[in-house]
Amino acid sequence: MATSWFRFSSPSTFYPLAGALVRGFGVAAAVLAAIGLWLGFAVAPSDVQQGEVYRIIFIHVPAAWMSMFLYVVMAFWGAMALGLNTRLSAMMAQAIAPTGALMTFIALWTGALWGRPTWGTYWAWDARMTSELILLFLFFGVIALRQAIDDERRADRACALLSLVGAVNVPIIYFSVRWWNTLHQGATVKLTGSSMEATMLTGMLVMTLAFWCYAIAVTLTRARAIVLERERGAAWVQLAAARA
Amino acid sequence: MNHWHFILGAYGVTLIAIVIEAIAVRMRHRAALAQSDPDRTR
Repeated sequence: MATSWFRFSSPSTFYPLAGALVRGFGVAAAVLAAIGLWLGFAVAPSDVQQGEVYRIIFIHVPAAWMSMFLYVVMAFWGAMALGLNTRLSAMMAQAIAPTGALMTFIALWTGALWGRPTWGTYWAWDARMTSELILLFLFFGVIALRQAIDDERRADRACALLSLVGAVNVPIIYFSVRWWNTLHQGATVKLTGSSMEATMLTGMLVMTLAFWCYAIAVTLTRARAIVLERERGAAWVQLAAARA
Repeated sequence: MNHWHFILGAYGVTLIAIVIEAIAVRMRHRAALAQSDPDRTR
């Protein structure tokens, strides 16, 4: 008998599935982070120009990639909520926003601390940094908009619309180094290859996987909490709470 | 050029932020479970 994955679009079936996945992704995140940090600090050599400070790359780039990816995923779930009118899609979008904001903050913070010793400044209003800051404001805006609307379904629709409108910022961030003269360097990792040294690239990619697994674990845990909060009156929720 | 204080600042704040988020989200889930428990004494 074929299994329909659509049965997991119901909060009552999604909840236990998410619970089963959280621990695995959490463990994977910890293991991958340990490997990535070992590669980044013990294996990868010093940079000829930047010395040791370039090692901030092992959290800055993964956080930046995750900030853009999480926004796109949040906008995707918002589109699903608008198009299919599914509660769980809106709950997923709601669960992603805080983690996306955190990744964006980490990208900006680590970028500033990397920029000071290398560029001589913590901040510059260049295209990439400014558009990444706008991404942070967009995440804050989605979170604040949800808090401002009492009716949950109206809040879902409003946040979905804001997410979709703001999605135009993601390609702006990505292509900004190509479209404008920026302080920020151009892409060194492309689909056609990379100009980075192999151990540096491997460490960065492993850390990206670690951040990805962490984001999944945290987002699924938050989604489980949101499901319980929003489905509080349902019999299955009381049963799940009593069993916990 | 080493600038270890910049590296510590970057990794330190990142670690603190991630730990705080992980703890906060677990606490939120536990609070939601407690709110939903029909046997919870008020």
